[in-house]
Amino acid sequence: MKTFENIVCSFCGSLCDDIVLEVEDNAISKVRGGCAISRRRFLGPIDREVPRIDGQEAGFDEALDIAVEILAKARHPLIYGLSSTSSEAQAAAVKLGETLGASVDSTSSVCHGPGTVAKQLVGLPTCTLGEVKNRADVVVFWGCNPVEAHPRHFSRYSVQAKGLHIEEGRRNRKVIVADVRRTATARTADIFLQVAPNEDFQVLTALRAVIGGAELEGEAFGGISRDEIRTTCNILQNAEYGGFFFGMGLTMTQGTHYNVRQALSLVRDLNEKTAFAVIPMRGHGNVAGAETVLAWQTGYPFGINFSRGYPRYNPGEFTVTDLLSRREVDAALIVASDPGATLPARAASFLSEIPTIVIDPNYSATAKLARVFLPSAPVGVAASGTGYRMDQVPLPLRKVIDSKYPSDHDILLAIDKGVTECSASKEVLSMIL
Amino acid sequence: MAFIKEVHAILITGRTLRQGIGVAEGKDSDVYREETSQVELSAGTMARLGLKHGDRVEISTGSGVETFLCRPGDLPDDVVFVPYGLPANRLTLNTTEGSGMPGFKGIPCRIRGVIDEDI
Repeated sequence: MKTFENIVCSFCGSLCDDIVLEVEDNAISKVRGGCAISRRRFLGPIDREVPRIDGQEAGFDEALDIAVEILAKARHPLIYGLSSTSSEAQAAAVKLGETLGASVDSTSSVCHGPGTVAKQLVGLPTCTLGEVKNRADVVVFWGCNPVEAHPRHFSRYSVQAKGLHIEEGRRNRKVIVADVRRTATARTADIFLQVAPNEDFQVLTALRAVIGGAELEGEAFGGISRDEIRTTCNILQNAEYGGFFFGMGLTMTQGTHYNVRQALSLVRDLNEKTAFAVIPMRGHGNVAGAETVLAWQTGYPFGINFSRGYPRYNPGEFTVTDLLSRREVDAALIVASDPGATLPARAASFLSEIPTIVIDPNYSATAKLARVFLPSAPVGVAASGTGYRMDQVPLPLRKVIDSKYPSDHDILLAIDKGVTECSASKEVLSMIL
Repeated sequence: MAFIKEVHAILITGRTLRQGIGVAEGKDSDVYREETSQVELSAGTMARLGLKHGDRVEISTGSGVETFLCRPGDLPDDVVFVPYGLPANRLTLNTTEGSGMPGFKGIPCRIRGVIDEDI
């Protein structure tokens, strides 16, 4: 038996890096630490899938050849997903996108993409989770539910965690939660702002007005009374150090990036009074890495198109839901994500009408729609790489067991090589003819 | 299929712990299927529709119609919560209004209690 310590779980954006794994006979036999989700992730079987073409079992190389052929022939291919794989694979996907002249989008466009657009407009006064743990005496969760979606966030980073200046953990912190539902997270709060559906912008605007010194004229704003607004503002501006986390309750709600722009502006305003930082509560394990890698490789974080030979960026045009709903792509390569199970059905169903290739450790709902399925080694379990935590801290995702399949990274490099060779032979043929 | 009273509400989709466990176990797992086929309604809405925990409700939006089992949740009377999943996807909106973000939250919907089991 071999024991691996300080292993990173890459299921959610918290990337908890204190997991202990015991490995026997090339299988994880015990998980210490982690949450209910991560234990299932690590203890789940690997290599149970087989490569498939049109749903039928096939050889890996045969399936890879078909994938290359599909992409080489495509005029407007889409590469999508990338949030549950390594940053090395994300970089390989960008390179392939450039080779193909493809659109490249990550799951950001259907989670925190609007927050990233807002960040481009007003900036992101941010910090690491370590600073929240060590300094934050006021913590805000707006439109997110970490108790259920990031189960160890409270204990490792934000609410219960004891830090350098927060010696007693929860007792030293005020917790404010804003949400439409009284979630499990809301039930732990000192102040719960039950926002009316689609009215986050109004509440954030009222908070900004009071922080800016204005007198509110209405009685209630987005379901929150004037007194609640004032009380909340008092807590926010009297913080020694504040941490503001936001989730898809802001990015998916009517107003999308306007909501986040207002939240980021509120945090910016609060920095005139005290110290405050904001961190997007990223969902998938390496979706933060997808944005980071795409931004450093192309200049843009998601919703990118290479059809003109250089990267262009336009959310609403080159983003997955729009491309599929408008039927604008003629092939799709889905890497480490499951749009067939996560996108609106009207968009997802188009994946079954075009040749779709899926690279994933699991035979996902999308794989069932796909022409080609290439199983891969799960990153952080049977493949190594880098993942970015929600606060943009890169962490190593370690291989602890072997898989019979290559990593996403290696498969993407092989496809890129195949497509490049295929294109080169076409050029030679056209010169001869 | 016959229906009892109907109400109009706002639909929001989101993550639950059991849905997350289901994703880790696999979307063909029982925990995933069970969790994503349920909706949360307020006690007030369930009373108005004459529903009890485990009864069937039909939810329709501009995108489609889907039937779920209902359970009580701590949320306002005019809100219904559906865990992320394949059934929810038939109700979410594929229009992004130029943002790239589909309609996953804040969707107008109609909720009807189903009294005929023959569905």
